[in-house]
Amino acid sequence: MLFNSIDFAVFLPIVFLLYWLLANKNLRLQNALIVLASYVFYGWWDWRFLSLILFSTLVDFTIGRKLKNEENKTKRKILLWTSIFVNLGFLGFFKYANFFLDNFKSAFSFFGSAITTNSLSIILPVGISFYTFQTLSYTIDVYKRKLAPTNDFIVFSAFVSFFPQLVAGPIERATNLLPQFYKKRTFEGSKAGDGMRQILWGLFKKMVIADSCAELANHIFNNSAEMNGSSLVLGAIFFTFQIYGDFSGYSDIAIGTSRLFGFNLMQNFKFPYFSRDIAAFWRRWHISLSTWFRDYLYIPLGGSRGGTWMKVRNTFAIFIVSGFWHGANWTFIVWGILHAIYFLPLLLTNKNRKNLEIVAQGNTLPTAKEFLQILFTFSLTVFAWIIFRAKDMKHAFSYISGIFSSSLFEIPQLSDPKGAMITMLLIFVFICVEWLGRESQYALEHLGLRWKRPLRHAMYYTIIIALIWFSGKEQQFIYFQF
Amino acid sequence: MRIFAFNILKFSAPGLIFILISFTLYLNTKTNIETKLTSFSKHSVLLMGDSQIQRLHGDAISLGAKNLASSGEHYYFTYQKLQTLVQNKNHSIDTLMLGVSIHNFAPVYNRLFSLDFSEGEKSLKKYLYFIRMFDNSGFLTTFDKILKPAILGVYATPDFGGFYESTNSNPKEAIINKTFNMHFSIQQNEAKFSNSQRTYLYEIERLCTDNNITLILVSTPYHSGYKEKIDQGYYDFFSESLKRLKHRRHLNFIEDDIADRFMSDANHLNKLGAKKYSKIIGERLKAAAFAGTQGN
Repeated sequence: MLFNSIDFAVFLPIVFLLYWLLANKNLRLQNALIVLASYVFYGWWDWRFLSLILFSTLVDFTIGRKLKNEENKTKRKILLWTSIFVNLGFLGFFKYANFFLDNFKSAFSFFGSAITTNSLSIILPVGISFYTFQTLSYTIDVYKRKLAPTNDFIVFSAFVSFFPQLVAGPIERATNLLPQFYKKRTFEGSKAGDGMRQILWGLFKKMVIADSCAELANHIFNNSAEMNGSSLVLGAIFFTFQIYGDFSGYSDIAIGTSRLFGFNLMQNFKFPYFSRDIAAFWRRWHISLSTWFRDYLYIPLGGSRGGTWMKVRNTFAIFIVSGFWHGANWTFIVWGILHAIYFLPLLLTNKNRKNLEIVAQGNTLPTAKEFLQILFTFSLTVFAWIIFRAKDMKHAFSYISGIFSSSLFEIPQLSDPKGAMITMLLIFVFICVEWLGRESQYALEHLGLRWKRPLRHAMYYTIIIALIWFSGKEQQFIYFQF
Repeated sequence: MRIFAFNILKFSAPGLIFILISFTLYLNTKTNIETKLTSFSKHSVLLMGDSQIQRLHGDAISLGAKNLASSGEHYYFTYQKLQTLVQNKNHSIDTLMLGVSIHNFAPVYNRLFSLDFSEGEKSLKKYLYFIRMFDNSGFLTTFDKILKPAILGVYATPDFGGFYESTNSNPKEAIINKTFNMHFSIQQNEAKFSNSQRTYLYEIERLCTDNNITLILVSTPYHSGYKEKIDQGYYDFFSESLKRLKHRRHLNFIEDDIADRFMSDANHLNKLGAKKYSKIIGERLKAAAFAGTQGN
């Protein structure tokens, strides 16, 4: 079920009312309702893959309980590796089998011995990368004794399958989300109102910004060979806003929906395009994934504690894995490597923690220096998104070489110039609102709260009208494929 | 929870009032439209279809003829209009002259019948009042796709269609190319032919048969420059589609070698051309000069 669909618009109020009116006084009933709703939500897409979630839940629940009573180090390790093997095994099979198969074929043919194998017809279960990492965090934390395992299967099932964040995150840590299922949840109007504001802003990001940009970006990327340099630059910029609006919009809807049910999820995006360097960008982009890799990969590998070589190795490792997490394509790996290259100078000169605070905090506008830093960082990310969006590396190279040609200074060739102008105007408004709200969890959190009610409501109505008027045709969320 | 529900209600009030006003307006206009369409059903001959047949003079063809054709009208909407017209049990319609052209089966008609495209959205806006509310044709798909064009449609003036005259002549090549691309370019892996046009063409025929209305298909001429660009596959699809009609009467002028001065653009007659062909069609109708079921 998509957040931006009529199905969800019917589903959410029903679950909300059942949750607060029928199951209000019974925590177990509330949790059971969450599990049921989550399975309906996921099964709406393809019920067959519910078995995967259920199996993953059973495995990690059982391993968690066994780890609780197991003191033998070797046996504990075996249990941990069983969980890792099962979870990553599923992920590897569904997501990466064909990638490895194709690359083996290419490698063999390179050495002169061609092998013929057919690619497997595998459907990628939606959200597998997200819930796999979430359940893994549980087992690892239990193994490290950072978290007491749960004995309540319903609670654990609710944690694994919690529908707001099941298919595209934020990837919640068991240490944050699991305890919330034990706490009595009482309805708070202000929290629910806040959740609704965040959902509204998320929908605006997805339906107005991302979906409008998607039409233009898709057209340019799909016809890049015939496009001039300036059109290609525009295509990359449109994709930059598409992916941000799409993914952070999803996170906002997920967090907002969770708040309607009394849960607090972690912030997944902190206005990343206002970052002053790449290190800051990575502290603000897909935070739940980057901190997951930091805690479960980077730090266990030694982090930045060792010598220069170790720092370089670990930095590349985390960025390559991060790229590969997005999908079985060399473009994602190269995208990761490119970000590692961007990041490395900051790390080696110890400037990677320089721009931690919110840019131009307390001021209306950034300084010229801050503005240039933001622009430079933004340009680097736009460049990297080209590789991320391209079909393959050949496409990426041809796209980039198309930009750096004399046609860069020509007038862009757009299939729908009027649509492109409207989209650019919407992006401008979007940037302004995001800038005004950059000190909050999401742009609309505090914006207009002190205004008189009619004015505030007029602002919300303007957003609703924009959702109807300017929403693009693209509907699927990009991160569903990851 | 009560306060929250009350606040939600307070916030939603303007939106709900807007919906209520729009719905009332919709129902009121729809009733007026049905009344008007019922009055059109008193005409014995109706001209329906898209902009080709829209150029013909109803009166020159037959006294009491009424032209209800409209630019870019998919047969689905013609079918919907016709359904309302024949709802009147005392209708006097005995002949329906329906415009059929080769480009009626071109990809542009897929787009005119799909809310995934701006052409389809414009169709919904234009024909909102002519579509039955619980239509299950597949045109009205998801709520989010319907919402915007439907709101625009509620507040737009309903288009009944009608005679349209053009004074242009001697169309330029650029105009012909533009029209050709608009009709025949294939977007986003869509189908080469419009099967939905074929489906509703047959539905129109069925409706005519059920209501004892004689269906006469009319194909007005094309500009030679436009005609020669069309892929043979479309000619074949066109003939194949028409062959399947059981009660086929076809006045086909597509093959006519027409002088540029009679054409407004690639595929439309101008004032002079319309006068000429309306007269020819009128004479044929009078003389009942339909040779069998095929040909001129």
